[in-house]
Amino acid sequence: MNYTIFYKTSYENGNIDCGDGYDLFVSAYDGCERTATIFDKIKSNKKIWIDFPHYKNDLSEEHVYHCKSFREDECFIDLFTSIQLEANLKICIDITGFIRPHLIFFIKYLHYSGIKKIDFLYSEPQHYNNAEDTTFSGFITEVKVIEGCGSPINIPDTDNDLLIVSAGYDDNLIARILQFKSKIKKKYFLVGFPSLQPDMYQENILKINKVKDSIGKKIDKYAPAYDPFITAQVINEIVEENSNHSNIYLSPLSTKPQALGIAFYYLWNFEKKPISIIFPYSNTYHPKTAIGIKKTWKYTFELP
Amino acid sequence: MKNELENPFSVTKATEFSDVEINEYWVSFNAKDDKSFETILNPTEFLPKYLIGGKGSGKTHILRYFSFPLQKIRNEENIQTILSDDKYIGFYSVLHGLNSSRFEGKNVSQAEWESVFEYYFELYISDNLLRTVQEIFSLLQLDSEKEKEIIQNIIKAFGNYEEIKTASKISDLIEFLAGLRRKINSQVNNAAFTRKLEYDEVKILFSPGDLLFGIPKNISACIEQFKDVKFIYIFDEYEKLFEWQKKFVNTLVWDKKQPVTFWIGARRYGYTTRDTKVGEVMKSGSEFQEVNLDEIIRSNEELYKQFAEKLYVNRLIKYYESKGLKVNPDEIKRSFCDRFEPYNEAKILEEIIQKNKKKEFKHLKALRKKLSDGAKSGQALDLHDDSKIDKIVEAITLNTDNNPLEQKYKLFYLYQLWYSAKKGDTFKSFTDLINHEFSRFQNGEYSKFKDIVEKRKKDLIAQLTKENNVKNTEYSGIAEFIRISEGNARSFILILKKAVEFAKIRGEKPLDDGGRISLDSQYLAVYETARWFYEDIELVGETGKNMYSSLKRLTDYFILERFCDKPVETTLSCFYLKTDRLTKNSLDCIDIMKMHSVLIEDTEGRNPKNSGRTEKMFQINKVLAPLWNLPTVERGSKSLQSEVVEAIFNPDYSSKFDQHYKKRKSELNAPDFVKLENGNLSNTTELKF
Amino acid sequence: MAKNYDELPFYDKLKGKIHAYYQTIWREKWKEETDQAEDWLKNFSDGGDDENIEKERINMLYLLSKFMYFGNDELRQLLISLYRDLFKYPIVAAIRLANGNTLDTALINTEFQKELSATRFLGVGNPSESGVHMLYYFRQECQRFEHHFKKCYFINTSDIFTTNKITEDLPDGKPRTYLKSEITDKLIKRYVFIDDFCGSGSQATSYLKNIVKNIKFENKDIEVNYLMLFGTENGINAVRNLKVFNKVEAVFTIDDTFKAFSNDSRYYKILPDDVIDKDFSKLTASKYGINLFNPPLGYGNCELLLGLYHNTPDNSLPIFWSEQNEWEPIFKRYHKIY
Repeated sequence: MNYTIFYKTSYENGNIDCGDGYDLFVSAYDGCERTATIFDKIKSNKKIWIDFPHYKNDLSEEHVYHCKSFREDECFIDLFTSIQLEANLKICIDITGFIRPHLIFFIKYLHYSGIKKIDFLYSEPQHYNNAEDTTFSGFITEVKVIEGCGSPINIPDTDNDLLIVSAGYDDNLIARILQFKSKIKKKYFLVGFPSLQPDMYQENILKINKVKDSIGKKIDKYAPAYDPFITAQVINEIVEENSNHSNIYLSPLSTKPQALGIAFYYLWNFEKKPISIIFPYSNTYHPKTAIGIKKTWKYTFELP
Repeated sequence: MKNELENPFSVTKATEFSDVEINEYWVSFNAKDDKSFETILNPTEFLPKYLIGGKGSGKTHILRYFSFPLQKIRNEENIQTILSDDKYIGFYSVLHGLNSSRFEGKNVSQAEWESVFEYYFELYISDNLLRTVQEIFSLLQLDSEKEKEIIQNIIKAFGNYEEIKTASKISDLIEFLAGLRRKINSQVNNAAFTRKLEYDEVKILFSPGDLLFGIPKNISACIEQFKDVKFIYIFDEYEKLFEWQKKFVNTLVWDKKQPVTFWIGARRYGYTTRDTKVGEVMKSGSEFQEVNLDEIIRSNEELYKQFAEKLYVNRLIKYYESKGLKVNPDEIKRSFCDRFEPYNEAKILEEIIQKNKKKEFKHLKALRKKLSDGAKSGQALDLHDDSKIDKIVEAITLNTDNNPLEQKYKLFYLYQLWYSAKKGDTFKSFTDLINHEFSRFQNGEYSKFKDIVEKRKKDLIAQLTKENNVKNTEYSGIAEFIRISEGNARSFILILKKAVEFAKIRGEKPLDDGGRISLDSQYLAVYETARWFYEDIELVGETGKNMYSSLKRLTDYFILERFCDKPVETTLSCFYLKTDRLTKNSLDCIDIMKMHSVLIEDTEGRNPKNSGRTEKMFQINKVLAPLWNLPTVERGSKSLQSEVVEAIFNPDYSSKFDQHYKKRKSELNAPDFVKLENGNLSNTTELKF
Repeated sequence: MAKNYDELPFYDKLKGKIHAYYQTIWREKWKEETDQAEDWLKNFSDGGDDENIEKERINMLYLLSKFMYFGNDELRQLLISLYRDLFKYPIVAAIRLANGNTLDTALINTEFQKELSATRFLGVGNPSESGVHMLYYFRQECQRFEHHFKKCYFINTSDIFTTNKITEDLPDGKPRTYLKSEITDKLIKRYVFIDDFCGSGSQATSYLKNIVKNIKFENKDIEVNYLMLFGTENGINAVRNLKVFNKVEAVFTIDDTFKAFSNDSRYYKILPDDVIDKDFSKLTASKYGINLFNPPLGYGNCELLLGLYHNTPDNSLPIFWSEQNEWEPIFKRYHKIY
């Protein structure tokens, strides 16, 4: 399987090409210009803003779906009962403002419901306010497997388990994941390189270095911060390098496109390999104070 | 892939050791005495063990040491000697692999979850058991008929025996059990979408214990060499389970059947229940033995010291051997220790002098401000304006040759006098007295300064370093590192790892002849280890949030006591509290801090003035002290009033903390302390010269 | 009562960052014997009194903590990214599109190999420049990444055209001899120029423009691309404005916020400590820079903090790379050999 053959395009200044338009468009409300611009510009029969309780928005806009629960498996129940999910439904999801475990659960649910093709959008801002010291998540409430993102296979001999972390700026998340799976010997860190901006790579390395004593020995691998398919490809390479592996744990702690890459690899493989996606949950998120919109990526998932 | 800098201490976790390394790096605690791990755990007895220890206490290293792969290494793959001499087989499983938190929610009832989890748990552990047994059979060259007999005995217990009766090999059984687990995994995973479990897919095919106890029993009965051999299930990471899952494991332990017994490894904070599912509470001593590693190690300071020394020397030997060098352990130890630059207060003072070359010292500026404020508010005796301030400052600097520490001694005395001033006292009389005493001190005659220097030096140097943002390098030398690691081998090795790392990166060549490890490198190592310890506390949710805010309030309070004009206690590091006067919230929080080794309880220490049984003494873990420039010696202690304890540890009363903090601040600092001169200062004790 | 615990002094914090770099990204620059950051800071010794020297050093240390150095691993990743993301990805997408969105990897591979064998890669600049190292790594990485990658896919600009001496008879019967240049390999569909760093675009404008024009003159359907690892926004625009290349792209685009002392400089948006001062830093960098290079803040006044494994561009601040007047550089620059 070659994961790098899937479609990926980028557009400047939010001028996206939607082709014939979509049946359904979903975006998470985070109060940023970059998500609002795309929401306006997208051509779709139905558009939904998802309002996550984590952001503590106070929204009374149209097209808003308010999540009542913090939990990913509960918060979309009403939404999914209100939509007819048919296999050929043309769906587009703007992942920019989504919360990672909820995004991954959402995709897994669509896949479980028979959807094979989904377009994803991700917008890079012109710049962030306070880029260096921005902390994105609040205090961690629990660490667990994302609901529905385990595998039918689970190997009790855990000696050759793999932990593959896509590691970003939030060193607290990294430390929590490493505590949660502290008995795994073989740890891979997927670092976003090339990064979104040239200096973000070294900032990222410094953040990882801050928690190096909680991490212990690790092996670094690189995948572009903006590319889910190469992320999936690199995960594939790691797994192939470790042909004697037992369970595989993936943890999406970096950019959303990389989280998407983890979901993509998972969906192509979870039936035949013991893969689970794990995440350190928090009930509070501070949406990034992102200014403007620079580049919007479109990634097309084609699923088995 | 970039290589790490070479470092003998790079591995700080047993998980990162291979089986062979676990064996090679094994250093027993008190090898020849009754406190060695072998004696305490005694694998030849049936009594189950709960091995409790904080992170880095060596728990995993110990548990793995007794597992079958390590037995093989020690017995050079000879299965006969394992069975005849060891007389036990250790089946080591880490429980994180269960991903036990899957078994909840998703609209499925608790009863269903319990039944599915228990079933799954037995299948899961049996897989590990069977794979080891398979290996043993092959080492024993067991004939296939015997194997078939055993398998047949086992599967007769299954409800679907007819479907699987052709099974004759262990591998058949392993495969069959894997199929059952697969169905459960799918059901549990998909329940996130379907909101239910399909009964047929998770139907239970045998009675609880048929595999966990049944398989060992059958093997024991069928194979002669197994007659007196114990099957020890070693479960590491008990803390990863939910409470109800722990109760289930406790029930297995409580209800164990020959030849099986259990060793359960748990973090202290995860060892939360002794309940069983049947309502019985396990009795420590008769039904199981609790082995608390931290307590054993901390209560044997001298043994820990020897242990820590063996640990690091062992690492160094391995390191130099790997370089092809001939090594003499004593020589290695001596030359390594010698490379640690010794603590030198003159260096710190010199740095402070350099930093203030063109400006007045901060402590003098502060004095000016306090005098001036005092003059304005009528709290500064004979001062009514700023006119005499220069003279006072001059008197403080007189004959100190710009030595900030000597000025600090004088200031300390001045603030003491100011605090206890009587009517008619003037600053002139104070400074005269101070300089009189000081000149006696300089002449080597008896003087009040002798006592001040003896008792206050460390605190005053700490103040100077904090005021001037200079590193307080008092935490230095291997002996000190062992002491502040508080019985935690991982903290100790980590300090050494970092000391070597910092020294290397600064070009100090710490592992070579003629190299050194500077005070700076040592300080950074200790500071960074403290930071790691602080950030790595394994707490999530509200409990974690509360713990961290309580710790913040506690350290703020302690900082106040050390970094003030008129510190009461010398090198204050311990506090007492009366537990019978505290709310459950506070006690719980203190307990959590204890379980995570943030607070260390001193069971021997007791307030000499008050020896009630409900009074407990605690110290903030010494390894954390550098984060706040707090002392590591156990010298000063303070009894905390219950209201203060509540404001610190009880989240419901935390809003009161500011008030207590401000009150205490003014008690301890000029010029406000004057106001409270005759106030109710019940919790301060006056220092007597 | 603010922070959860005492922070290290600011100088130690900065040193901590530098030391973290030496253990990770700068690993191959680390030397056993010495603390290189300290050695480098010793260059800044003309500040007069101790306090001012200290201020200069801590400001320069801050700049150093922001320096973007890409080591061997990173350089190779960038080269892979250039090949995989900028070159290969769009070709594969076009193949899939032309074949009904096929996911047949064998088919995609065969079609891609055809495209690849009709492509030639070239360096920018003459072969004796330091970019040659980069090209060498690029070839290594391509060969590692792509099993069928052949050495002959790399050519020099002088190989594009072949010049022959032609002799023909004029109508009056006299022979006439002239030189005729034509594209050497008529099967080539695509030329890809590879560059490590494009600062002002002068290389492309002065030296490549005519070559590309000649290629297009011969066959306007031939695609000519200019792909680079790093390009300043101005440089990329200058090359695009030539309107001779089909595609001008960089793995990393460097905008004005990367110019150390510009108004939009990202390094001084938030000041991490009172002692850090943009104007003072600029003065310091200029004061020492004047003895090191002209202009003192780097070629084209780019004021960059950028270094690559194989070289440091002269667009970076000379205080980092120059060896003039016994200056001790921390990211030495290897000069072009002419």
